[in-house]
Amino acid sequence: MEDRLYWKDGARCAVMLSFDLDGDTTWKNGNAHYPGGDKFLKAASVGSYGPRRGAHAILDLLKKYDLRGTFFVPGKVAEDNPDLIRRIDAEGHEIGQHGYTHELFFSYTLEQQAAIIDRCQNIFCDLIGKPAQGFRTPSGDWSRGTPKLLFERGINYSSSMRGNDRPYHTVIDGKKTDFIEIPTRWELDDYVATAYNYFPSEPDGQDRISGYELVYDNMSREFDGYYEYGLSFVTLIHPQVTGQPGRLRILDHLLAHIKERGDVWFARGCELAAWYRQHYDEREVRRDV
Amino acid sequence: MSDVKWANGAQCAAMLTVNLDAEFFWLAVDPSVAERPKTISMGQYGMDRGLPRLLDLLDEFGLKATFFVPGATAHAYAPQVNEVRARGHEIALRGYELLNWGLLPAGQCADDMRKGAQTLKDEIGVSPVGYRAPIAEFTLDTLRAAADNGALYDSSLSDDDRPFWFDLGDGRRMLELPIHWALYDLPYFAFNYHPPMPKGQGRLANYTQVFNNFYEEYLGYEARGLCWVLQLDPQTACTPGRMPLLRELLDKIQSRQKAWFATGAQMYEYWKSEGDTVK
Repeated sequence: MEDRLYWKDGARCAVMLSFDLDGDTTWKNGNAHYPGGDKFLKAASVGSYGPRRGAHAILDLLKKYDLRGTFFVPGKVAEDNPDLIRRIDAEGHEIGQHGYTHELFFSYTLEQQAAIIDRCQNIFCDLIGKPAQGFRTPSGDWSRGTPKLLFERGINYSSSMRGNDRPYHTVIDGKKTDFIEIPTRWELDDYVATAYNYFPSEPDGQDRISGYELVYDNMSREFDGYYEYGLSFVTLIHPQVTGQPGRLRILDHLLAHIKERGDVWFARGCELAAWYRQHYDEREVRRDV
Repeated sequence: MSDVKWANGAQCAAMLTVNLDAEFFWLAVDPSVAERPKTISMGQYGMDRGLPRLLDLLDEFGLKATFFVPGATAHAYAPQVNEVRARGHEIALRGYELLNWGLLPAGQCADDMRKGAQTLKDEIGVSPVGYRAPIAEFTLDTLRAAADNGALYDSSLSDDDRPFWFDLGDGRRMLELPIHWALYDLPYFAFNYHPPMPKGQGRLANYTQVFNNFYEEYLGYEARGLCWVLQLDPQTACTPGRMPLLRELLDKIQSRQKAWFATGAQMYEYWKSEGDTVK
């Protein structure tokens, strides 16, 4: 049997409600592959729905359930939507880094990556008076050297990898460190299930939008499994996708289902990372038993 | 009804097979994955998180499976693969890397097969009798290379739904234990953006319906007395949300008490000793 992790207040499992507030950045990056793409209006508007409508709907829903989430926000989206960023912060949610314009870190030099990270910290300090503690790699892979850059710049956790379903200490320069990784999984990503655009195509092969009932079935089954094994269930929700009225009902039902269990610890990324760092050592072994 | 007589008077046969492809699946998709820690981590998930769950589940049901293990996996994860062996499962050959042997020279495949077999011997202490080719294409040279390295059976082709003898065209033959795409979890569930998986970036399938496909196929194989071969990869099959469905599937099949559960090696021994009288 798997060893069960020890969570706050003896909770059976942890739930990190995390949201990638990408706005129009990913769509504008995609448009850039076409001549004149900087003048395209339609695809970017699909993304703009996130900060304009979806995020507010999600914030209202979190308020209804009295839950705090973690929003990973590209710096540019924060600059363009200062009131929304202040609302997210004022309502007790955490804001983490997600690139400036959702850059694919893998394709940038470490110097360029460092400049993006620094730029975003300044933006958050200006807007909400504090730097981010967490980071989620935008658009796929980061480089092998990225965790070190982040840790040196005061970021103390990431939620980027796919190789686990519980937190762990990240190896930097061959040694386990207090830079905590809180992995998530594609099966908990609403974008994979329901994001769509005709031109430029999303997904690439233009598969159809999944049935909502079946998306709920997958995600609630995953939650039940995480609960059973006592893991950290980390959603990867995009306000532009799930903020739409019908899809918000998927999240509503999922939150009701999770809350019904009772012994679940809803934690923001910074809380989860701090908890793990405090209670589990570099061998991933519990310290205080 | 079937034209096959199965061991122990069973109505059909059921084989649980596992491809321990780990991150080498992704490295075969695109060599740039070597520098992509997030993509690699999806394969690592299978070995670090999925495999222990699968081994516990198989113990729970008292079932033995056949694990096809690339040499690269045996080298990178020797303790985990030794644990598979220690818990009584069959270890079988999958070459060393997971390359597309349909597009590469026969000599390279022969070298890879030797290296794969040698690694299983050195790291795990086994001399496998079975082979399964990587997910893409392969040729007669691939099967001959597998036979050169001790494989008596193969489980890579889809011609039939019962075992059959496959002629290697050089005086040798292998027993073929056929597989079908519908009974392999990875194509339903594997996903990535860069490099894209599936190539057309289709959605993840619905869990309930996938496991229902597996069970409906089983019922069809049972009704017609055939050999149902399930392929699992723990990196996709063994997430927390899929494990209960896998448990339910095994439970439903086992409770029907109609199937002879066999490993590849057991199936080979049975088919060989019964000769063509089983048909």
